[in-house]
Amino acid sequence: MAPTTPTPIDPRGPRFNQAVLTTGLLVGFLLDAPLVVPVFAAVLFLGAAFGPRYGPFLRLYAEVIRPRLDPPAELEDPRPPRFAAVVGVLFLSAATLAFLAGAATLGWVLALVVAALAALSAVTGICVGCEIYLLVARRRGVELAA
Amino acid sequence: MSDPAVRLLVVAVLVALVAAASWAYRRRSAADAARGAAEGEWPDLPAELAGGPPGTWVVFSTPMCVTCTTVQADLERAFPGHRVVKVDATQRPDLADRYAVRRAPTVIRATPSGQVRNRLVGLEGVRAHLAGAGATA
Repeated sequence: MAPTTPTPIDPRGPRFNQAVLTTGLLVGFLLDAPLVVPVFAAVLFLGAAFGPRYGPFLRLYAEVIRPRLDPPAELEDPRPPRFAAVVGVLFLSAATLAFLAGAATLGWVLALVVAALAALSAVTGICVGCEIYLLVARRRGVELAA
Repeated sequence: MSDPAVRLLVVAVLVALVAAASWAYRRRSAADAARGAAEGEWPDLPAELAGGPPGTWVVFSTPMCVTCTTVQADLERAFPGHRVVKVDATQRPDLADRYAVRRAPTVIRATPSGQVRNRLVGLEGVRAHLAGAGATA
């Protein structure tokens, strides 16, 4: 565990960000507008690299939407959604390179993988830090016992 | 990939896949939460955790579970004098397996002798139990 635990966040912020991401990528795909891919790579990168204040849609949520909602029932550690955003940046960057190289189908496949995972996260509100680490630890536990 | 109809079809398939996966996830979570209802279904708490009247609450957590701290504080407030222990499930996979812990927080309530009385899943499961306990206390 890190020596300092980061301040917990409202989990609806990343969920809103994921919903916008999914919608943007799907609309871009339907309109055959690959430009949405580098745009959302940049959007995710800003939030993941510099914090939620710099992610355009995270900030929109925090400043405009959240004040109109009830306080969140639960808070979440910011690290797992941030890690997910980093993975999204890597996929969307690879997709951008594919478009630049002329491999449009590969570019869209990579972008749609991100869209599908972001949609799943936004719809279920799954707390990755509460689930996956358990499974990893269980596997490790089995290996230690074997 | 230039045909708009093909693109529409791809999006429809994607939406269907996401809907099916989130339905499966919700179903699995609901089944996990429902398992706590029956008493006597789970093995007793090990001696290291049991002991001390009037009973023990074990909160299974992960290093990044913020809600687990909330749940621990809720239980300590609602049941002063009870033993409330937070167990990092990633450090104790043996115990997590024993009570089929899939998600943090999962809470086990045991008698002083270690007999399991309740298994509660998530903040909502604990809050629902506390609301019920408040009504009967």
